[in-house]
Amino acid sequence: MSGRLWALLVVGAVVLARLASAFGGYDIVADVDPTNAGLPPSGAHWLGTDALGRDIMWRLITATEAFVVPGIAAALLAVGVGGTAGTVAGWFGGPTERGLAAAAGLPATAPRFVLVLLLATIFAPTPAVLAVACGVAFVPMVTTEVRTRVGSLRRRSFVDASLLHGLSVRQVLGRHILWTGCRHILARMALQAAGFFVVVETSLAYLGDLGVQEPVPSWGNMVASGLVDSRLHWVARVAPAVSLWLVLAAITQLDAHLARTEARR
Amino acid sequence: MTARLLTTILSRLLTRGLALVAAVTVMLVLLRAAPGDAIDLVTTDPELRTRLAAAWHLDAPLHIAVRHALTGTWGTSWTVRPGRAVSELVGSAALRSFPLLVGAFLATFIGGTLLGSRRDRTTLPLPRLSVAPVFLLGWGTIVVLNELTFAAIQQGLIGRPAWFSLPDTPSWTRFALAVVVLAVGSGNLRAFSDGVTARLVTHRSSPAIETLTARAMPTRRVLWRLLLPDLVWLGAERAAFLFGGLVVLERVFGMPGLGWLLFEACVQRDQPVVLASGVVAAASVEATRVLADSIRIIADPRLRDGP
Repeated sequence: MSGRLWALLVVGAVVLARLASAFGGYDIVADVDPTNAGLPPSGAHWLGTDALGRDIMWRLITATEAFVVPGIAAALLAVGVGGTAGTVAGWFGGPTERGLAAAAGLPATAPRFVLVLLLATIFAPTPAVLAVACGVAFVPMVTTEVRTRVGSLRRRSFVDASLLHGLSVRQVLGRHILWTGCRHILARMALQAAGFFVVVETSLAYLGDLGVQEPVPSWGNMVASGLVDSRLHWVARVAPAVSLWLVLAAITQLDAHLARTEARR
Repeated sequence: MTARLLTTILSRLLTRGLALVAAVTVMLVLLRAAPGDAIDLVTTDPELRTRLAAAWHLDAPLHIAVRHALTGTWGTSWTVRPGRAVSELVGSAALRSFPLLVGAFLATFIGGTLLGSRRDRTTLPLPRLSVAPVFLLGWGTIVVLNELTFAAIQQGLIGRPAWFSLPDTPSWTRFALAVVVLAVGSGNLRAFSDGVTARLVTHRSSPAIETLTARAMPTRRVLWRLLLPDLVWLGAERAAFLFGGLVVLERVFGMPGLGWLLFEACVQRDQPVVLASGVVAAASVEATRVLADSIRIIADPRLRDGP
């Protein structure tokens, strides 16, 4: 199976899991049953149960709620704000470019994770705040990439030719520059921002306090409970870690594929 | 040439300094705009409220607060270590984190350069390993080592090692593992080695190297000379990521330092410590970038002498 295919399958499975979580009717409180604690994988519990007898498979599926929609929101925010700033800066150049580059570069002054922590502390660590913080943390990178590309395409003769043929600036920017020249960059940035959100969400949940708290499942707090409870079946212990690794590997794989496609053009 | 070099370095210094001031100003504006007030948690008495606001510098105008933040006048901790000077807290925590950061930076720099300059690097498991975030790699390392060692002790194969069990027992093994996890986790080592490979490819196809190769002259030295400024810049770029990873790593490995302190302050909403940690993080990142910029300008004649 090619790298791109399995990566798409993993991403598709996560989206399906999110839908299953929305319509599956799983109750995180009603599932607690100490008589089922630490069961190995079986037909009734595909990945076994945890220390409170909860089904690991259903908790893995429910945990996708914590990162799928907010992750997509973070990606859209990063690409929307960074892409717009980069396009305007690259197209106009001069003082506009310098001003926008400086403003968009402000979040890059602090390390990304520290910036997210700061914003989460100031505005409470809700999924919406984390999504905005992750999006903002990626704005400098998106702005720089898009600005550089748009700036280099702006000087190409086909742009002048298109304008002379009567195409509007909006048409040239939208069709010839952003779609033809920047779509792979924007897709890569969106993937990276979404991947960063997954890392932040699961890391905070693993550390506790600022992330998703028990009994609500997150792959991060499920990995943490696998660390402390060695009585669980090994499949139940490693399943959240493997799921997380697979999703991040799929995102990286798709990112690498887009980078290769971009390099070939 | 020296005047031009100095002007370039000073202009970079000024730009980075302004970026730092702007970032601290935004941080303070956000902290002040945040819903709720730390004093609300302590008292509702108006008189006491005024006195506390003055003591904690909450009523200072923004420009004074920015000056205080940048000059290290951070006051005392509210909740993490109530009453202790924040500068003292942050200073001692930074000293504890320093060896970890330097170790991980060196591991990223040396390991990334060696791996990036290998032509057969596709056979290495690094890309697959480094996808895991710091906490997952740390978790995997701790679980696997603890379980294997415990099994070996039970079978009578080995005695109880001094470091057992992770992460509760302080030891050099724990430190070395933490350094490796910080360097590899979240793709730091991979990103660095990818950068080295990409730049080597670019330099190898440059006209200077092509001419040298065509004349059968030794190209390795010239290649590394060209690569050195790039390595410095790549290293500076990764330093910011190492600092971010430190917050998670110190919690996973139970090693209290600057990352640990920042996380504790965030959880306990200790604004002076959060602000101080944020300023130290931003200042460190900007200082690293200025240093890397300066080395790059000095080492690269194209940047030093201009077109």
